[in-house]
Amino acid sequence: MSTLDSFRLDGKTAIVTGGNRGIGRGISDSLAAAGANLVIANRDEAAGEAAAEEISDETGAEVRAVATDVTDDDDVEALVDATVEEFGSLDVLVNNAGRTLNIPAEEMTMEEWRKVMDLNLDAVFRCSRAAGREMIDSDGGSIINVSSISAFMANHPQPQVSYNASKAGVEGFKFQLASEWAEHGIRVNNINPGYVRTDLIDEVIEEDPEMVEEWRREMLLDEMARPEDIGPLAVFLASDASWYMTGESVVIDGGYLVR
Amino acid sequence: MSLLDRFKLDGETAVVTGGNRGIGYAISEGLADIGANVVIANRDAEAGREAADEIAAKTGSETLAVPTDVTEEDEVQDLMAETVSEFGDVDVLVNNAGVALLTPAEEKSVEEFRKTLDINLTGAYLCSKYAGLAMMDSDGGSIVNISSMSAFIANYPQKHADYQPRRPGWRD
Repeated sequence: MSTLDSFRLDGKTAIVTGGNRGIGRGISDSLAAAGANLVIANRDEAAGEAAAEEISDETGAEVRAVATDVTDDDDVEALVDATVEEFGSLDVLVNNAGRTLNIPAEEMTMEEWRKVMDLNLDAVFRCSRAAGREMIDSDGGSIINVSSISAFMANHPQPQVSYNASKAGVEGFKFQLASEWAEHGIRVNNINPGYVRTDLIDEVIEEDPEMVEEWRREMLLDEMARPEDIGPLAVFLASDASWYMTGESVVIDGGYLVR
Repeated sequence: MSLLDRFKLDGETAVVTGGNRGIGYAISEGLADIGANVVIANRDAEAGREAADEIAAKTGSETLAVPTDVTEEDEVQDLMAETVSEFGDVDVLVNNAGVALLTPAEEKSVEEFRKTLDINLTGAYLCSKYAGLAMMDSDGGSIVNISSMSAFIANYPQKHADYQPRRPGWRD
């Protein structure tokens, strides 16, 4: 197999949670372009269907949308069942769905704290458990968590203590899951993006351009990433090209953490 | 550009130090396999030439061997000059050359300690400096350092205290 071919995902099936927009969309586009069968798992059925159709048209890959609330046990079980029924296997899970609430810690309610944890940490476990059971029964797979540089640092000026705690949790989760599932041929790795120009960030830019300038001062490369800049890293971690990598976190942040 | 094309290196030129064997050889072969011109920089001229010929035959890419001691500033300068004169510029530098002398710390001589640092750390600096100058003259580039898990952990049971300080040094 040539070096470039080791990045191909032909015949593999991938689920991307929140794969209809933002970083998840960038990852979905790339996995499909590398030949994977793709399942987009997001809450809004119409948005998922539209993204699936667009990606399929662009790449020629088989793409399905399965409306899923990743904070719901039954939905997640149904997602994995539907995927296996449609494509015969599940080889790659990308835990991408996530959110933040920018609320000062001293004002945050437990409900608000839990909302972020439910989606960013509990759902990562729930989806990994369901996908992992399937992967253990077949011949392994690759689990990719979209973590963040916020797992390793304090963001400023915005307050987001629950987000950072949830992403740091995903780091510990990754170490332990990689260790427990290595014997089943399942690799577990994290992608840790810095600031990425998604539609959510666009809203922030509109509301508070000063904040963006403050972020930019910390970057070595003078612009935010685009969602499509994260996709190729997901292809690498999903593919045989990275078969010797597990339990690792790959920072892709334009040098933000370095400075 | 298609997705997998973004991984290709057609038209790019890569210098790999210690590229004639081990990890360096595999990196040289991988870079050549995805289209790069590859310059193998190692001390043994014959071993370098053999590796370069082998990789060219396997991949169809252009390769060149430039005998280089990465601890010698003028040799590193010549390496980059020769690369630019052969291929036009330097796009990728892989600082791969390295050694580990397995002597217990309490028995190690300062000369042994320095030898490891000279190759693993100073060599990476010298190559980065002259590749960096070439990259600044053109349109940038990518420098890849082969570090090690030994930057972060204690290796056991082998003893090589002089190998350990390498990574923190080049992160400064």
